[in-house]
Amino acid sequence: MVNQVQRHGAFAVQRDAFRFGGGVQQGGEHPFPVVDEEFQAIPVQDHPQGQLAVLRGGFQPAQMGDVPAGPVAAAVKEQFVIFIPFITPDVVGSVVWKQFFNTQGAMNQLPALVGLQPVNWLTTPATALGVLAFVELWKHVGLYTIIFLTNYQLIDRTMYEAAWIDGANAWQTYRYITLPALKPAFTLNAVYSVIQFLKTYTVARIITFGGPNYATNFLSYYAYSKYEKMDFGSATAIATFLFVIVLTMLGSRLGRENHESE
Amino acid sequence: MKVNKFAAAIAYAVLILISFVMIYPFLWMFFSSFKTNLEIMQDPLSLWPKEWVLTGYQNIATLAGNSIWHYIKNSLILSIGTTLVVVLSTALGGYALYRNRRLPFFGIIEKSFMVSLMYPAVLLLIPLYVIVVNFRLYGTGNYLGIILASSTGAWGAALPFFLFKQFFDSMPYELLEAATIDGASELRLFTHITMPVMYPVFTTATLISFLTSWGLWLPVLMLSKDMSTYNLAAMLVNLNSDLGVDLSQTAALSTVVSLPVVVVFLLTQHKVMDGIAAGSVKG
Repeated sequence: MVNQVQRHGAFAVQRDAFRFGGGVQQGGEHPFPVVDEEFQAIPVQDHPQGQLAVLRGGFQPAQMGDVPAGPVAAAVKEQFVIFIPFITPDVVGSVVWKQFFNTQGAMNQLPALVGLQPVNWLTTPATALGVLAFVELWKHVGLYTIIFLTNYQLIDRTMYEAAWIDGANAWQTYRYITLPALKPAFTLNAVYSVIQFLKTYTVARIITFGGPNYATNFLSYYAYSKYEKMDFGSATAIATFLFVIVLTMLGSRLGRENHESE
Repeated sequence: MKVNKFAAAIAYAVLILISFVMIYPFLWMFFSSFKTNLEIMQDPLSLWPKEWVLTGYQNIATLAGNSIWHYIKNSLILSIGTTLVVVLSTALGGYALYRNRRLPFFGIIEKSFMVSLMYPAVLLLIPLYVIVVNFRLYGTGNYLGIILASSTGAWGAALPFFLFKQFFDSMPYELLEAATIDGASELRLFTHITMPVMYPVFTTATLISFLTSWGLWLPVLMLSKDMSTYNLAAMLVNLNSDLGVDLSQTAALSTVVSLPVVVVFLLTQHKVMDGIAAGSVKG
């Protein structure tokens, strides 16, 4: 059972959720994976000296910040594909997608295959913005997935057991246990994606150069273009303005953390 | 049970589709680098080349008057240099934070790493530029300015820093206390107790740092006086700003840029993904 959970970490949770709906298919078998063992399973081979592994086993994952090395790795074993765009240089992804969405590119041919007019993705302001949003999503979705996965691993499985005993169905289990338990990941991902939006410049620089008609002139790219034109005053003004925004966001987040810990 | 299997089948279908969207651009890029420009234009959706040609690679053998090896060498110098600076400084800095939390300004340093993780690094170009020029690190063939700029929190040091900090937070202090009672010096504490325990985090941080700094192009483009210090990624951006884009050439250069990263990542994916998850969750 443990092995199975390790192999398909993300799925196991979902499958369990499905199983609750079914109720009592398996007679004697305990429907819950023994996850506690999994959390303790720290790979010994990671250590230069074997006895240190024992030592490390003593470190308890106390909160979300402490991510145990084993389970996450196991869970994403088959999902590394989603992470490749995040790890490869951002220029590469942008360059390739640019070719796809170009006037002669693959994405223009796709509508033609089903008999529609080809779309000029990059020369129409609305679609150009959509294309950039898509490319950014494509690039960063791996990080967000990993953060959710990490959070998944840290959900206390006994809560599912309790819900199952109380007779909750799959949807109720998801709504009242999984979603609230994922709240930290939701918050973190929301913060990250807002920040990521503020940081966006590579796609704008490579794919659209801020056009058409300034439709994709993001804040960071705007500052960058000012810098390229040697307009240092404006660029610094934008930088200062953004610094205040980020500080405010960070301040509110830290303030809330302090409040929660009280 | 029937519902179970059905749902799983749908879930797997969706996952396979998503994986395909994720990986398709890279496959396209790889196969297009072996096509002629004409074939890429005529049949933009297909993957497998009708005829394997090497014109793309022949075209990138010499870029802007320099051989491709020049840019590969620059990429290696810049990313290895950045990795060294980042990992050494964050490892030792994190250790210092761990050993004595009450040293002045350490709280501010920690917060500033968090700010730098959130702050758009593009906007720091002007201050960095001014600093690099004033330190006389700006010039032909001067890698040091670029390496130092790429090592700042905004570009790459924040994630390794949080990795180390998190690791040291979870390391029991009794370990060092026991060694101190046994009469170990401060240096010995670090080399004989901390370093062996920290080895896994150290490799993870090194990998992440290398992977992120390999693709950095903005500081390279902005802090280079001329092409003598351009790396591969900067060259790819440069290639792209020209009006007429040579498709097979771009695809070939993209392949060259991403191949080392993908290979390193595939060999070490667990470490990298765990590390990035841990570092970003903390930050």
